[in-house]
Amino acid sequence: MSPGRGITCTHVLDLLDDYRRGKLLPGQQQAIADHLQRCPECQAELELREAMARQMVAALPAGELQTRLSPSVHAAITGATRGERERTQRKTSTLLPMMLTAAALIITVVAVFQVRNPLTLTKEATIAASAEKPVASEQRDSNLFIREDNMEAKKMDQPLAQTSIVRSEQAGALKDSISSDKKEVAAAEAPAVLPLAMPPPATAAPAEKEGIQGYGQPAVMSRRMSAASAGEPRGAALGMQDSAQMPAPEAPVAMDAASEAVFSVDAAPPAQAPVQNAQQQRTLAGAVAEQQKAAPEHRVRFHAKTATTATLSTSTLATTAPAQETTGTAVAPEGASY
Amino acid sequence: MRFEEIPISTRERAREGQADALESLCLLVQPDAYAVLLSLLRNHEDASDALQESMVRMIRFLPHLRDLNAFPGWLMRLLVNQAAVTYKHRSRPVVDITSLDPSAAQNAVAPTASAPLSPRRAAENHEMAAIINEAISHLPERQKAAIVLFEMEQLSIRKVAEIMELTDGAVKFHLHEARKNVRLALQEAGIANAALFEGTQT
Repeated sequence: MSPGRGITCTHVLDLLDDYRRGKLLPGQQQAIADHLQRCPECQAELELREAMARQMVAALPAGELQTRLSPSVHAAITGATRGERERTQRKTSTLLPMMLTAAALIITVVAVFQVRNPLTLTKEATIAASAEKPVASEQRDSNLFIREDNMEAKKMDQPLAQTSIVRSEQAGALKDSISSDKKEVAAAEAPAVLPLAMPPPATAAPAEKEGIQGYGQPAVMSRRMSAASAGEPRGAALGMQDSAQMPAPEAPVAMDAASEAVFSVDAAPPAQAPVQNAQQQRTLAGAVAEQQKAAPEHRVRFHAKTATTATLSTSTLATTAPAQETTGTAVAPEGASY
Repeated sequence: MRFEEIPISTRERAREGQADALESLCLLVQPDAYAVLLSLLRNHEDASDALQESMVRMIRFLPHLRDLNAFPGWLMRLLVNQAAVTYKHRSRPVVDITSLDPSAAQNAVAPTASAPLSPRRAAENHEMAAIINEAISHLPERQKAAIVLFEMEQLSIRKVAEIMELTDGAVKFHLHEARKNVRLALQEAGIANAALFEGTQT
Protein backbone atom coordinates (compact mmCIF):
# COMPACT_ATOMS: atom_id res chain seq x y z
CA MET A 1 0.00 0.00 0.00
CA SER A 2 2.78 2.33 -0.86
CA PRO A 3 2.53 3.27 -4.45
CA GLY A 4 4.92 6.14 -4.07
CA ARG A 5 8.63 5.66 -3.72
CA GLY A 6 10.07 6.63 -0.38
CA ILE A 7 6.79 7.49 1.29
CA THR A 8 4.10 5.29 2.73
CA CYS A 9 0.39 5.71 3.17
CA THR A 10 0.87 6.03 6.91
CA HIS A 11 3.12 9.03 6.40
CA VAL A 12 0.70 10.51 3.93
CA LEU A 13 -2.27 10.14 6.22
CA ASP A 14 -0.28 11.64 9.03
CA LEU A 15 0.64 14.69 6.95
CA LEU A 16 -2.63 14.91 5.09
CA ASP A 17 -4.08 17.79 7.13
CA ASP A 18 -0.92 19.82 6.75
CA TYR A 19 -0.98 19.04 3.04
CA ARG A 20 -4.54 20.35 2.82
CA ARG A 21 -3.48 23.63 4.39
CA GLY A 22 -0.25 23.85 2.45
CA LYS A 23 1.88 23.87 5.60
CA LEU A 24 4.49 21.42 4.30
CA LEU A 25 7.72 22.15 2.56
CA PRO A 26 7.54 22.27 -1.24
CA GLY A 27 9.32 18.94 -1.57
CA GLN A 28 6.95 17.28 0.86
CA GLN A 29 3.94 18.81 -0.83
CA GLN A 30 5.09 17.46 -4.16
CA ALA A 31 5.88 14.02 -2.76
CA ILE A 32 2.43 13.69 -1.22
CA ALA A 33 0.77 14.96 -4.36
CA ASP A 34 2.58 12.31 -6.36
CA HIS A 35 1.51 9.67 -3.86
CA LEU A 36 -2.12 10.76 -3.99
CA GLN A 37 -2.15 10.47 -7.77
CA ARG A 38 -1.03 6.87 -7.56
CA CYS A 39 -2.99 5.84 -4.37
CA PRO A 40 -6.80 6.01 -4.66
CA GLU A 41 -7.29 5.17 -0.97
CA CYS A 42 -5.31 8.12 0.28
CA GLN A 43 -7.01 10.28 -2.32
CA ALA A 44 -10.42 9.16 -1.04
CA GLU A 45 -9.42 9.95 2.52
CA LEU A 46 -8.35 13.42 1.49
CA GLU A 47 -11.62 14.09 -0.29
CA LEU A 48 -13.61 12.75 2.63
CA ARG A 49 -11.88 15.07 5.08
CA GLU A 50 -12.44 18.09 2.91
CA ALA A 51 -16.07 17.24 2.37
CA MET A 52 -16.69 16.73 6.05
CA ALA A 53 -15.10 20.04 6.93
CA ARG A 54 -17.30 21.84 4.44
CA GLN A 55 -20.37 20.06 5.73
CA MET A 56 -19.52 21.03 9.28
CA VAL A 57 -19.36 24.66 8.32
CA ALA A 58 -22.49 24.38 6.25
CA ALA A 59 -24.33 22.65 9.07
CA LEU A 60 -23.78 25.52 11.45
CA PRO A 61 -27.07 26.81 12.72
CA ALA A 62 -28.00 30.34 11.96
CA GLY A 63 -26.64 32.75 14.46
CA GLU A 64 -26.92 36.38 15.31
CA LEU A 65 -24.14 38.83 15.05
CA GLN A 66 -23.22 39.81 18.57
CA THR A 67 -22.70 43.56 18.36
CA ARG A 68 -24.08 44.63 21.72
CA LEU A 69 -23.14 43.74 25.21
CA SER A 70 -25.66 42.03 27.41
CA PRO A 71 -26.71 43.61 30.73
CA SER A 72 -24.81 40.96 32.65
CA VAL A 73 -21.60 41.88 30.85
CA HIS A 74 -22.21 45.58 31.57
CA ALA A 75 -22.71 44.75 35.24
CA ALA A 76 -19.48 42.77 35.25
CA ILE A 77 -17.59 45.68 33.74
CA THR A 78 -19.02 48.06 36.33
CA GLY A 79 -18.13 45.69 39.13
CA ALA A 80 -14.61 45.17 37.84
CA THR A 81 -14.08 48.91 37.53
CA ARG A 82 -15.36 49.55 41.05
CA GLY A 83 -13.27 46.74 42.43
CA GLU A 84 -10.13 48.07 40.79
CA ARG A 85 -10.83 51.54 42.16
CA GLU A 86 -11.33 50.16 45.65
CA ARG A 87 -8.15 48.15 45.43
CA THR A 88 -6.24 51.27 44.44
CA GLN A 89 -7.71 53.25 47.31
CA ARG A 90 -6.99 50.43 49.71
CA LYS A 91 -3.37 50.32 48.62
CA THR A 92 -3.01 54.06 49.17
CA SER A 93 -4.76 54.05 52.51
CA THR A 94 -2.74 51.16 53.85
CA LEU A 95 0.62 52.31 52.56
CA LEU A 96 1.32 54.92 55.24
CA PRO A 97 0.42 52.76 58.25
CA MET A 98 2.48 49.93 56.85
CA MET A 99 5.49 52.20 56.46
CA LEU A 100 5.10 53.53 59.98
CA THR A 101 4.78 50.03 61.37
CA ALA A 102 7.87 48.90 59.50
CA ALA A 103 9.86 51.87 60.81
CA ALA A 104 8.79 51.19 64.38
CA LEU A 105 9.70 47.55 64.01
CA ILE A 106 13.14 48.39 62.68
CA ILE A 107 13.79 50.80 65.53
CA THR A 108 12.73 48.20 68.06
CA VAL A 109 14.95 45.54 66.56
CA VAL A 110 17.94 47.84 66.49
CA ALA A 111 17.38 48.88 70.08
CA VAL A 112 17.08 45.30 71.26
CA PHE A 113 20.15 44.36 69.34
CA GLN A 114 22.19 47.09 70.93
CA VAL A 115 21.03 46.19 74.40
CA ARG A 116 21.83 42.55 73.91
CA ASN A 117 25.01 43.09 72.03
CA PRO A 118 27.59 40.58 73.26
CA LEU A 119 30.38 43.12 72.96
CA THR A 120 28.50 45.52 75.17
CA LEU A 121 27.90 42.81 77.69
CA THR A 122 31.57 41.89 77.67
CA LYS A 123 32.54 45.44 78.35
CA GLU A 124 30.04 45.68 81.13
CA ALA A 125 31.22 42.44 82.62
CA THR A 126 34.80 43.62 82.48
CA ILE A 127 33.93 46.85 84.18
CA ALA A 128 31.95 45.04 86.81
CA ALA A 129 34.72 42.58 87.42
CA SER A 130 37.30 45.28 87.79
CA ALA A 131 35.06 47.10 90.19
CA GLU A 132 34.51 44.03 92.28
CA LYS A 133 38.13 43.14 92.74
CA PRO A 134 38.82 45.48 95.67
CA VAL A 135 35.65 44.41 97.35
CA ALA A 136 36.40 40.72 97.01
CA SER A 137 38.27 40.58 100.29
CA GLU A 138 35.31 42.09 102.02
CA GLN A 139 32.95 39.52 100.69
CA ARG A 140 34.75 36.63 102.22
CA ASP A 141 32.39 36.67 105.12
CA SER A 142 29.65 35.66 102.81
CA ASN A 143 29.02 32.17 101.69
CA LEU A 144 30.48 32.68 98.30
CA PHE A 145 33.55 34.44 97.04
CA ILE A 146 35.41 34.53 93.79
CA ARG A 147 39.06 34.74 93.17
CA GLU A 148 41.16 35.28 90.16
CA ASP A 149 44.20 33.34 89.11
CA ASN A 150 46.56 32.23 91.69
CA MET A 151 49.85 33.72 90.83
CA GLU A 152 51.72 31.69 93.32
CA ALA A 153 50.51 28.52 91.78
CA LYS A 154 51.69 29.73 88.45
CA LYS A 155 55.11 30.23 89.87
CA MET A 156 55.07 26.60 90.91
CA ASP A 157 54.29 25.50 87.37
CA GLN A 158 50.74 24.99 88.34
CA PRO A 159 48.88 27.96 87.11
CA LEU A 160 45.40 28.06 88.34
CA ALA A 161 42.36 28.55 86.29
CA GLN A 162 40.42 31.69 86.22
CA THR A 163 37.82 31.19 88.82
CA SER A 164 37.02 28.84 91.61
CA ILE A 165 34.20 28.83 94.04
CA VAL A 166 34.46 27.68 97.55
CA ARG A 167 31.64 27.50 99.91
CA SER A 168 32.13 28.51 103.48
CA GLU A 169 30.44 25.32 104.47
CA GLN A 170 33.43 23.51 103.16
CA ALA A 171 35.59 25.78 105.22
CA GLY A 172 33.80 24.64 108.31
CA ALA A 173 34.28 21.08 107.36
CA LEU A 174 37.91 21.73 106.73
CA LYS A 175 38.31 23.21 110.13
CA ASP A 176 37.05 20.01 111.59
CA SER A 177 39.62 18.16 109.66
CA ILE A 178 42.31 20.49 110.80
CA SER A 179 41.33 20.09 114.40
CA SER A 180 41.27 16.39 114.10
CA ASP A 181 44.13 14.65 115.79
CA LYS A 182 44.13 12.02 113.18
CA LYS A 183 44.86 14.65 110.64
CA GLU A 184 47.72 16.03 112.53
CA VAL A 185 49.27 12.68 112.87
CA ALA A 186 48.81 11.94 109.24
CA ALA A 187 50.26 15.28 108.34
CA ALA A 188 53.31 14.65 110.42
CA GLU A 189 53.91 11.25 108.99
CA ALA A 190 52.70 11.02 105.48
CA PRO A 191 53.85 13.14 102.62
CA ALA A 192 51.41 14.61 100.23
CA VAL A 193 49.62 12.57 97.63
CA LEU A 194 46.72 14.08 95.87
CA PRO A 195 43.79 12.25 97.37
CA LEU A 196 41.04 12.17 94.87
CA ALA A 197 38.29 9.77 95.62
CA MET A 198 38.08 8.74 92.03
CA PRO A 199 38.63 5.16 90.99
CA PRO A 200 41.21 5.11 88.25
CA PRO A 201 39.63 4.30 84.91
CA ALA A 202 40.76 1.49 82.72
CA THR A 203 42.61 3.91 80.54
CA ALA A 204 44.71 5.00 83.45
CA ALA A 205 47.09 2.10 83.08
CA PRO A 206 49.56 3.85 80.79
CA ALA A 207 49.66 6.80 83.03
CA GLU A 208 50.27 4.62 86.00
CA LYS A 209 53.14 3.01 84.25
CA GLU A 210 54.64 6.32 83.52
CA GLY A 211 53.95 7.43 86.97
CA ILE A 212 55.01 10.81 87.97
CA GLN A 213 57.84 10.79 85.49
CA GLY A 214 55.34 10.60 82.67
CA TYR A 215 54.06 13.95 83.53
CA GLY A 216 55.97 15.91 81.02
CA GLN A 217 54.19 19.19 81.01
CA PRO A 218 52.99 21.06 84.00
CA ALA A 219 49.34 20.79 84.68
CA VAL A 220 47.43 23.98 84.63
CA MET A 221 45.09 23.68 87.49
CA SER A 222 42.89 25.96 89.33
CA ARG A 223 41.93 25.04 92.73
CA ARG A 224 40.69 26.87 95.63
CA MET A 225 41.59 25.71 98.98
CA SER A 226 38.98 26.46 101.46
CA ALA A 227 41.25 26.04 104.41
CA ALA A 228 44.79 25.23 105.12
CA SER A 229 47.07 25.70 107.93
CA ALA A 230 50.10 27.81 107.32
CA GLY A 231 52.63 25.67 109.04
CA GLU A 232 51.07 22.42 108.30
CA PRO A 233 52.30 20.40 105.41
CA ARG A 234 49.92 20.07 102.56
CA GLY A 235 50.04 16.35 102.82
CA ALA A 236 48.82 16.53 106.35
CA ALA A 237 45.72 18.38 105.40
CA LEU A 238 45.09 15.90 102.67
CA GLY A 239 45.62 12.91 104.86
CA MET A 240 48.51 11.49 102.95
CA GLN A 241 49.64 8.09 103.97
CA ASP A 242 52.24 6.83 101.64
CA SER A 243 55.28 8.91 101.03
CA ALA A 244 56.15 6.87 97.99
CA GLN A 245 53.00 8.07 96.32
CA MET A 246 53.64 11.64 97.00
CA PRO A 247 54.50 13.41 93.83
CA ALA A 248 57.09 16.02 93.47
CA PRO A 249 55.95 19.51 94.28
CA GLU A 250 56.15 20.47 90.65
CA ALA A 251 54.02 17.57 89.49
CA PRO A 252 51.55 16.42 92.06
CA VAL A 253 49.20 14.79 89.58
CA ALA A 254 50.30 12.49 86.85
CA MET A 255 48.97 13.70 83.53
CA ASP A 256 49.94 12.72 80.05
CA ALA A 257 48.97 15.35 77.63
CA ALA A 258 47.16 18.59 77.49
CA SER A 259 43.51 18.30 78.19
CA GLU A 260 40.96 20.18 80.05
CA ALA A 261 39.10 18.80 82.95
CA VAL A 262 36.69 20.22 85.38
CA PHE A 263 36.48 18.37 88.57
CA SER A 264 35.27 18.69 92.05
CA VAL A 265 36.94 16.77 94.77
CA ASP A 266 35.89 16.40 98.34
CA ALA A 267 39.39 16.67 99.48
CA ALA A 268 42.05 19.20 99.91
CA PRO A 269 43.89 20.42 96.85
CA PRO A 270 47.21 18.90 95.91
CA ALA A 271 50.12 19.36 98.11
CA GLN A 272 51.90 21.76 95.86
CA ALA A 273 49.02 24.18 95.88
CA PRO A 274 50.20 26.71 98.37
CA VAL A 275 48.22 28.42 100.96
CA GLN A 276 47.45 31.73 99.53
CA ASN A 277 48.25 34.06 102.30
CA ALA A 278 47.65 34.72 105.91
CA GLN A 279 44.63 36.82 105.18
CA GLN A 280 42.92 33.96 103.46
CA GLN A 281 43.68 31.71 106.33
CA ARG A 282 42.13 34.11 108.71
CA THR A 283 39.07 34.35 106.60
CA LEU A 284 38.74 30.66 106.48
CA ALA A 285 39.17 30.37 110.18
CA GLY A 286 36.32 32.81 110.63
CA ALA A 287 34.17 30.81 108.35
CA VAL A 288 35.04 27.74 110.31
CA ALA A 289 33.98 29.37 113.49
CA GLU A 290 30.62 30.25 112.03
CA GLN A 291 29.92 26.86 110.74
CA GLN A 292 31.08 24.32 113.17
CA LYS A 293 28.70 21.66 112.06
CA ALA A 294 29.64 20.88 108.60
CA ALA A 295 28.17 18.03 106.68
CA PRO A 296 30.20 14.91 107.34
CA GLU A 297 29.33 13.66 103.98
CA HIS A 298 32.25 12.77 101.88
CA ARG A 299 31.59 13.49 98.25
CA VAL A 300 33.57 13.38 95.13
CA ARG A 301 32.43 14.86 91.90
CA PHE A 302 34.31 14.63 88.76
CA HIS A 303 33.68 16.05 85.36
CA ALA A 304 36.09 15.50 82.55
CA LYS A 305 35.59 17.18 79.22
CA THR A 306 38.04 14.93 77.51
CA ALA A 307 39.35 11.50 78.14
CA THR A 308 42.05 11.83 80.68
CA THR A 309 44.25 9.51 82.58
CA ALA A 310 45.62 10.31 85.92
CA THR A 311 46.92 8.38 88.77
CA LEU A 312 45.24 9.43 91.90
CA SER A 313 45.35 7.97 95.29
CA THR A 314 41.99 7.12 96.63
CA SER A 315 43.00 5.18 99.65
CA THR A 316 43.93 8.23 101.60
CA LEU A 317 40.71 9.94 100.92
CA ALA A 318 38.82 7.54 103.10
CA THR A 319 40.85 8.65 106.02
CA THR A 320 40.63 12.32 105.39
CA ALA A 321 38.58 14.69 107.35
CA PRO A 322 34.89 15.13 106.81
CA ALA A 323 33.47 16.86 103.88
CA GLN A 324 35.99 18.99 102.20
CA GLU A 325 34.67 19.92 98.89
CA THR A 326 36.93 21.72 96.60
CA THR A 327 35.62 22.87 93.38
CA GLY A 328 38.00 23.92 90.72
CA THR A 329 38.93 23.93 87.13
CA ALA A 330 41.99 22.19 85.91
CA VAL A 331 43.60 22.50 82.56
CA ALA A 332 45.78 19.49 82.28
CA PRO A 333 47.90 18.30 79.41
CA GLU A 334 46.03 16.30 76.86
CA GLY A 335 45.80 12.66 77.73
CA ALA A 336 46.14 13.22 81.41
CA SER A 337 44.28 10.78 83.54
CA TYR A 338 42.57 11.01 86.76
CA MET B 1 -11.64 40.45 14.59
CA ARG B 2 -9.54 37.51 15.52
CA PHE B 3 -8.30 37.29 19.06
CA GLU B 4 -4.71 37.73 17.94
CA GLU B 5 -5.52 41.01 16.28
CA ILE B 6 -6.71 42.74 19.44
CA PRO B 7 -4.22 45.48 20.32
CA ILE B 8 -2.00 44.89 23.30
CA SER B 9 -2.84 48.32 24.67
CA THR B 10 -6.50 47.39 24.78
CA ARG B 11 -5.70 44.16 26.55
CA GLU B 12 -3.52 45.97 29.06
CA ARG B 13 -5.99 48.71 29.85
CA ALA B 14 -8.73 46.12 30.17
CA ARG B 15 -6.59 44.15 32.57
CA GLU B 16 -6.14 47.28 34.64
CA GLY B 17 -9.90 47.50 34.98
CA GLN B 18 -10.63 50.49 32.78
CA ALA B 19 -14.28 50.44 31.82
CA ASP B 20 -13.90 51.71 28.29
CA ALA B 21 -11.18 49.20 27.50
CA LEU B 22 -13.20 46.34 28.92
CA GLU B 23 -16.18 47.34 26.85
CA SER B 24 -14.10 47.63 23.71
CA LEU B 25 -12.49 44.30 24.36
CA CYS B 26 -15.82 42.58 24.80
CA LEU B 27 -17.19 44.10 21.62
CA LEU B 28 -14.08 43.03 19.71
CA VAL B 29 -14.01 39.43 20.86
CA GLN B 30 -17.75 38.76 20.92
CA PRO B 31 -18.31 37.82 17.25
CA ASP B 32 -15.54 35.27 17.08
CA ALA B 33 -16.28 34.01 20.54
CA TYR B 34 -19.86 33.47 19.56
CA ALA B 35 -18.82 31.62 16.42
CA VAL B 36 -16.63 29.27 18.41
CA LEU B 37 -19.35 28.63 20.94
CA LEU B 38 -21.87 28.07 18.19
CA SER B 39 -19.57 25.55 16.53
CA LEU B 40 -19.17 23.69 19.78
CA LEU B 41 -22.74 23.86 21.03
CA ARG B 42 -24.58 23.87 17.72
CA ASN B 43 -27.34 25.91 19.24
CA HIS B 44 -27.93 29.65 19.14
CA GLU B 45 -29.48 29.96 22.58
CA ASP B 46 -26.83 27.88 24.24
CA ALA B 47 -24.13 29.78 22.43
CA SER B 48 -25.63 33.11 23.52
CA ASP B 49 -25.83 32.02 27.15
CA ALA B 50 -22.32 30.66 27.04
CA LEU B 51 -21.10 33.86 25.44
CA GLN B 52 -22.46 36.03 28.22
CA GLU B 53 -20.99 33.82 30.89
CA SER B 54 -17.70 33.70 29.03
CA MET B 55 -17.52 37.49 28.84
CA VAL B 56 -18.25 37.79 32.55
CA ARG B 57 -15.55 35.26 33.36
CA MET B 58 -13.11 36.99 31.05
CA ILE B 59 -13.70 40.32 32.82
CA ARG B 60 -13.33 38.67 36.20
CA PHE B 61 -10.16 36.69 35.55
CA LEU B 62 -8.37 38.98 33.12
CA PRO B 63 -6.54 40.84 35.95
CA HIS B 64 -4.91 37.52 36.87
CA LEU B 65 -3.51 36.97 33.37
CA ARG B 66 0.18 37.80 33.57
CA ASP B 67 1.22 37.39 29.96
CA LEU B 68 -1.06 39.37 27.70
CA ASN B 69 0.46 37.68 24.65
CA ALA B 70 -1.21 34.50 25.82
CA PHE B 71 -4.60 36.18 25.73
CA PRO B 72 -5.87 34.48 22.52
CA GLY B 73 -5.16 30.98 23.73
CA TRP B 74 -6.37 31.85 27.22
CA LEU B 75 -9.66 33.13 25.87
CA MET B 76 -10.11 30.16 23.56
CA ARG B 77 -9.56 27.79 26.46
CA LEU B 78 -12.08 29.74 28.48
CA LEU B 79 -14.62 29.40 25.67
CA VAL B 80 -14.06 25.66 25.28
CA ASN B 81 -14.45 25.10 29.00
CA GLN B 82 -17.52 27.26 29.15
CA ALA B 83 -19.05 25.37 26.23
CA ALA B 84 -18.49 22.11 28.07
CA VAL B 85 -20.16 23.49 31.18
CA THR B 86 -23.09 24.80 29.19
CA TYR B 87 -23.47 21.54 27.30
CA LYS B 88 -23.72 19.66 30.57
CA HIS B 89 -26.55 21.84 31.81
CA ARG B 90 -28.38 22.24 28.56
CA SER B 91 -32.07 21.46 28.48
CA ARG B 92 -32.75 22.36 24.90
CA PRO B 93 -32.69 19.94 21.99
CA VAL B 94 -29.26 19.31 20.61
CA VAL B 95 -30.03 20.58 17.15
CA ASP B 96 -32.73 22.95 16.17
CA ILE B 97 -33.50 21.98 12.62
CA THR B 98 -35.64 25.04 12.13
CA SER B 99 -32.74 27.29 12.89
CA LEU B 100 -30.79 25.98 9.98
CA ASP B 101 -30.63 28.25 7.05
CA PRO B 102 -30.91 26.15 3.90
CA SER B 103 -29.64 28.93 1.69
CA ALA B 104 -26.58 29.36 3.82
CA ALA B 105 -25.98 25.66 3.81
CA GLN B 106 -26.37 25.57 0.11
CA ASN B 107 -23.88 28.34 -0.33
CA ALA B 108 -21.49 26.76 2.08
CA VAL B 109 -21.74 23.35 0.57
CA ALA B 110 -21.29 24.57 -2.96
CA PRO B 111 -19.55 27.89 -2.71
CA THR B 112 -18.15 27.62 -6.20
CA ALA B 113 -21.11 26.01 -7.81
CA SER B 114 -22.15 27.72 -10.97
CA ALA B 115 -25.62 26.22 -11.01
CA PRO B 116 -28.01 26.40 -8.04
CA LEU B 117 -28.85 23.17 -6.24
CA SER B 118 -32.07 21.45 -7.04
CA PRO B 119 -34.75 21.38 -4.28
CA ARG B 120 -34.09 17.71 -3.74
CA ARG B 121 -30.38 18.18 -3.37
CA ALA B 122 -30.90 21.10 -1.03
CA ALA B 123 -33.17 19.00 1.17
CA GLU B 124 -30.59 16.24 1.29
CA ASN B 125 -27.95 18.71 2.27
CA HIS B 126 -30.28 20.11 4.89
CA GLU B 127 -30.78 16.65 6.33
CA MET B 128 -27.09 15.90 6.19
CA ALA B 129 -26.28 19.11 8.03
CA ALA B 130 -28.70 18.18 10.78
CA ILE B 131 -27.09 14.77 11.12
CA ILE B 132 -23.63 16.30 11.26
CA ASN B 133 -24.68 18.78 13.90
CA GLU B 134 -26.27 16.00 15.88
CA ALA B 135 -23.16 13.87 15.60
CA ILE B 136 -20.79 16.68 16.55
CA SER B 137 -22.86 17.79 19.49
CA HIS B 138 -22.84 14.26 20.85
CA LEU B 139 -19.12 13.80 20.51
CA PRO B 140 -17.08 13.57 23.67
CA GLU B 141 -15.86 16.97 24.78
CA ARG B 142 -12.27 16.49 23.71
CA GLN B 143 -13.19 15.11 20.31
CA LYS B 144 -15.64 17.92 19.82
CA ALA B 145 -13.17 20.60 20.78
CA ALA B 146 -10.46 19.05 18.64
CA ILE B 147 -12.51 18.82 15.46
CA VAL B 148 -14.14 22.23 15.92
CA LEU B 149 -10.92 24.06 16.69
CA PHE B 150 -9.03 22.28 13.92
CA GLU B 151 -11.56 22.14 11.14
CA MET B 152 -13.73 25.18 11.77
CA GLU B 153 -11.34 27.57 13.53
CA GLN B 154 -8.53 26.45 11.27
CA LEU B 155 -6.08 26.24 14.17
CA SER B 156 -2.96 24.13 13.92
CA ILE B 157 -2.50 20.93 15.82
CA ARG B 158 0.03 22.65 18.06
CA LYS B 159 -2.34 25.47 18.85
CA VAL B 160 -5.20 23.10 19.57
CA ALA B 161 -2.90 21.14 21.84
CA GLU B 162 -2.00 24.30 23.75
CA ILE B 163 -5.63 25.26 24.19
CA MET B 164 -6.70 21.81 25.25
CA GLU B 165 -3.54 21.34 27.31
CA LEU B 166 -2.76 18.07 25.55
CA THR B 167 0.06 16.73 23.44
CA ASP B 168 0.05 16.92 19.69
CA GLY B 169 -0.40 13.19 19.44
CA ALA B 170 -3.36 13.27 21.76
CA VAL B 171 -4.99 15.98 19.65
CA LYS B 172 -4.45 13.94 16.49
CA PHE B 173 -5.97 10.93 18.18
CA HIS B 174 -9.05 12.87 19.29
CA LEU B 175 -9.35 14.39 15.82
CA HIS B 176 -9.23 10.97 14.20
CA GLU B 177 -11.81 9.61 16.59
CA ALA B 178 -14.11 12.57 15.96
CA ARG B 179 -13.97 12.09 12.19
CA LYS B 180 -14.62 8.42 12.57
CA ASN B 181 -17.68 9.02 14.76
CA VAL B 182 -19.12 11.64 12.43
CA ARG B 183 -18.62 9.38 9.45
CA LEU B 184 -20.26 6.53 11.32
CA ALA B 185 -23.25 8.72 12.15
CA LEU B 186 -23.67 9.61 8.50
CA GLN B 187 -23.44 5.98 7.44
CA GLU B 188 -26.03 4.98 10.00
CA ALA B 189 -28.32 7.63 8.59
CA GLY B 190 -27.90 6.15 5.16
CA ILE B 191 -25.69 8.88 3.87
CA ALA B 192 -22.67 7.38 2.22
CA ASN B 193 -19.45 9.07 1.42
CA ALA B 194 -20.74 9.62 -2.05
CA ALA B 195 -23.33 12.04 -0.76
CA LEU B 196 -20.64 14.00 0.95
CA PHE B 197 -18.67 14.14 -2.23
CA GLU B 198 -21.69 15.01 -4.22
CA GLY B 199 -22.55 17.76 -1.82
CA THR B 200 -19.14 19.25 -2.04
CA GLN B 201 -18.46 18.68 -5.67
CA THR B 202 -21.77 19.68 -7.09
